[in-house]
Amino acid sequence: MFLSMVILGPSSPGWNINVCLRPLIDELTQLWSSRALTYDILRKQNFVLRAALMWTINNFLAYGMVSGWSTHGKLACPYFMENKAFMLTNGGKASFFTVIVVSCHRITGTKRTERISLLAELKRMLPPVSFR
Amino acid sequence: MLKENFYAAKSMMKPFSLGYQKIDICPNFCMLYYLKNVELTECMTCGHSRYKPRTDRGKTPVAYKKLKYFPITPRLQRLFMSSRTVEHMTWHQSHHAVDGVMVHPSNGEAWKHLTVCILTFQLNQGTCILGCVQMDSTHSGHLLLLILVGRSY
Repeated sequence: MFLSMVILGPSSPGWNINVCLRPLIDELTQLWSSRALTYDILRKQNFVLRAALMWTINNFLAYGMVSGWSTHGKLACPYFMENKAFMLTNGGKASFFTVIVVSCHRITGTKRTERISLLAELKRMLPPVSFR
Repeated sequence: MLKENFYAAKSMMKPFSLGYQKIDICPNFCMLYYLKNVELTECMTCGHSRYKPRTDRGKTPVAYKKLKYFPITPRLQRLFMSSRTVEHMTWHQSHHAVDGVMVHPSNGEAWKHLTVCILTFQLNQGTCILGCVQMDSTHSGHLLLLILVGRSY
């Protein structure tokens, strides 16, 4: 495990992390295209080393910073794009349920038992297409 | 191996040449004073000064904010210089995996796809595969770690 970068300061760079990542990106591009000559002690010879960055692991907030996609609001989840999120009339939070719940709230006078059964049905529903 | 003081620890690490670069950065995170912009003293976007106001005591200019960057190329090369670590670099290629059991990312689909790509493009030289971990905390600095997951021949 390599420590790659330490950004000092009282606050996190937030969206501007891409400015700080420039030296790392430059070096990774160089390692992939122009490579680096390395000595292998096991084979006692030089070889050309390349490096590929395969994935990034971060929490959801840092994911927003690195990908440049907003992780807040109705379009927070990139996998849920086809099923639009909605907000309740008296609430400010985006909810990622499907159409059934929206209709459940819109139907005035829905009985409590019906709502409970609808929610139970919701729990059995499949995840978005990308996760199947 | 714990050294008695910080100076001794730094002296021990010096021959390995695994140091770090200090790059000045605009305190509003607009730009790096890096490569062709290394001589600038003001930010090109927001106009913030690069250095703190000079005091009578110190003569060298002190930057407002610095980025510490640890280059990865010498660190990767270092792993091949030691006979202990070089064995582990090819482990994922030589170990035998049981079908249907995932014990390492090298058994995963993404890794296999990359291996196929490397073979297709005749790039079957040593390729290091890296993973990136971000440690984010809103109240302090920001850490970025790279994990070396393996290497394919």
